[in-house]
Amino acid sequence: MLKFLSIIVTILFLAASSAFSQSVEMADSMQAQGKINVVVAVAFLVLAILFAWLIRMEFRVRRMEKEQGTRS
Amino acid sequence: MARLNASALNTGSFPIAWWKLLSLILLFYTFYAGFKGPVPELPILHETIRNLYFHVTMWMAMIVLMLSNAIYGIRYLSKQRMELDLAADECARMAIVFGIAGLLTGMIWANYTWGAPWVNDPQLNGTAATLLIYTAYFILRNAIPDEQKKARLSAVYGIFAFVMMFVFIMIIPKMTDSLHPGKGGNPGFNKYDLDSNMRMVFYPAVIGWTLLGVWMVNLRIRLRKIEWQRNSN
Repeated sequence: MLKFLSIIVTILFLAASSAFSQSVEMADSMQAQGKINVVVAVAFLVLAILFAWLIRMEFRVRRMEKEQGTRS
Repeated sequence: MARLNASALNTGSFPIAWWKLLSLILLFYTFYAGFKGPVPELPILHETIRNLYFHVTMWMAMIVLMLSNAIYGIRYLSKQRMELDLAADECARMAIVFGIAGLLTGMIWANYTWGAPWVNDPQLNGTAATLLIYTAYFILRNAIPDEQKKARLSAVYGIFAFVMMFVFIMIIPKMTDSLHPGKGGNPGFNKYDLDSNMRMVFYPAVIGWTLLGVWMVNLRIRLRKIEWQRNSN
C-alpha cells in the first residue's frame, strides 16, 4: 500500500513538474538548420539497409565457400 | 570431415575484413559530413556542390574497378588461371554499374547547373565512349565460345580499354575546353576548386565508395568461383 502510494505521489509530482515547466519538449534537434537532419536520417537508413544486405550476403557466400571446402 | 575441421578453424576470427568495415564507417561519415559539413558559397552551384561527394566518387570507384580489370587481365595472361578471368569480368561489370550511376547523377546535376542533362562536353562524351568500349568487352566475351580464347582475348581487350578510358576521361578533356572544373588546361583540385573543408569529406568519400565497389565485386567473384567449381567438378 505504501509502495502504491509512493508511486502515485511520484506520478503526480512528475505530472506537476512537467505542467509547470515552461518549455515544451519538441524534437528540436531534428528541426534545426532547415531540417537537414531529417535528410541525414533518411540517408543513414538507406545506408544501413544497404550494409545489412551486404553483410548478410557476406555470411551467405562464406557459408557456401565452407560447404564447397574452398576458402581462398 | 577435413572440410568441417578446416571450417571450424575459421570461426574464431572476426568474420568481416577490416576494409569492408572501413567502407561502412567512411560512408556513414560521408553521408553525415556530406550533408552537414561547411561548403563554400558559390553562385550557380549553391548547395549542389555537395554532389562532389556522391557523383565524382562514382567515377573514382569506376576507374579503380577498370584498373583492377586490367590488372586481372595482365595476371591472367601470365598465369593462365580461369579464376583470374572470372575476376576480371566481374570487375568490368561493377565498373559499368558505377559508370551508369555516375552518368545518371551527373545528368541530374548538369540539368540544374548547366541547364541541360547532356551538354556537348568532351568529358561527357568521353565517359559515354568509355562505357561503350566496356560494353563491347561483354559483347566480345559472349561472342567467343572457347573458354581459353575468350579469356585471353578479353584480357588483351581489357588492357586496351583501360588505356582508352584514360585517354577519353583524363587526357582529352584536359586538352580542350570543358565545363568540368580543372579542365581546359587548368590543373584540377587546386585551392580555387576545392577548399580544405571539402577535402576532409571528399577523400574519405572516395575511399569509402571505392571500397564499397570492391566489396561488391569481391562477393560477386567469390560467387562466380563457387559456381565455376561446381560446374567443373
